[in-house]
Amino acid sequence: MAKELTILLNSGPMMCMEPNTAVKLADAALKKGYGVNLFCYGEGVLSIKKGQAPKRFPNVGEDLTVLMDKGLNIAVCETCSHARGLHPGEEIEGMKIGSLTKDLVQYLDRTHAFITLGR
Amino acid sequence: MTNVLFTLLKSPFEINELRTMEVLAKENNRGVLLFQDAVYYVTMERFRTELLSNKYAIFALRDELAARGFDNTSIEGVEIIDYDRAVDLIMEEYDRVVSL
Repeated sequence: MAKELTILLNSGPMMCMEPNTAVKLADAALKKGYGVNLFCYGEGVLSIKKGQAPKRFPNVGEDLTVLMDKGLNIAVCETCSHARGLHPGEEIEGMKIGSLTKDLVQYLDRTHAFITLGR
Repeated sequence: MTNVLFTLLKSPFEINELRTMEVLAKENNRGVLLFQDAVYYVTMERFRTELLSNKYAIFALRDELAARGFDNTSIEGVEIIDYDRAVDLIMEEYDRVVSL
């Protein structure tokens, strides 16, 4: 069973670089054969919104979709999502509007290392 | 003795974490991994000197230095790394990771 890395992302795309750092770190860990979990909280939940179309910034939604296809697990806080008008059906397919107390706890239960990226 | 790796994102001019790190590190072996604006800890000599005098192994992301216009090939006392190496540090070489 591969060791797992869990990343808690608290910053949103476009405004901050933390989502891009999360993408690079997750990509490197997946390439090395580790399991990787990403849980988004606060503004970070907007990273999974469908239809992102930034003109001058990396498209975090597309980057995460590529990583999800390589095995990245992604869930975001439901309460944070509702607060920001992100409702079920607006998330990128395969990404989960989940729960801090369920999904993050499950990630942490099996993770080897945990890192927080956020402002 | 535990190996503790601190990860920093913010510039020391925004928030200086050196004192917090010292409190948390205690007698353990310590390293610091610098992302984003935290690379200013090594481009400014006074912060780099303090880290080295407190026995931190220092790791700075090459891309973050380059993005800010700094020499990303050699800084005295600093290991300049890519994301592959960062993963090795987090997953294999340190027992605990503390994000500040």
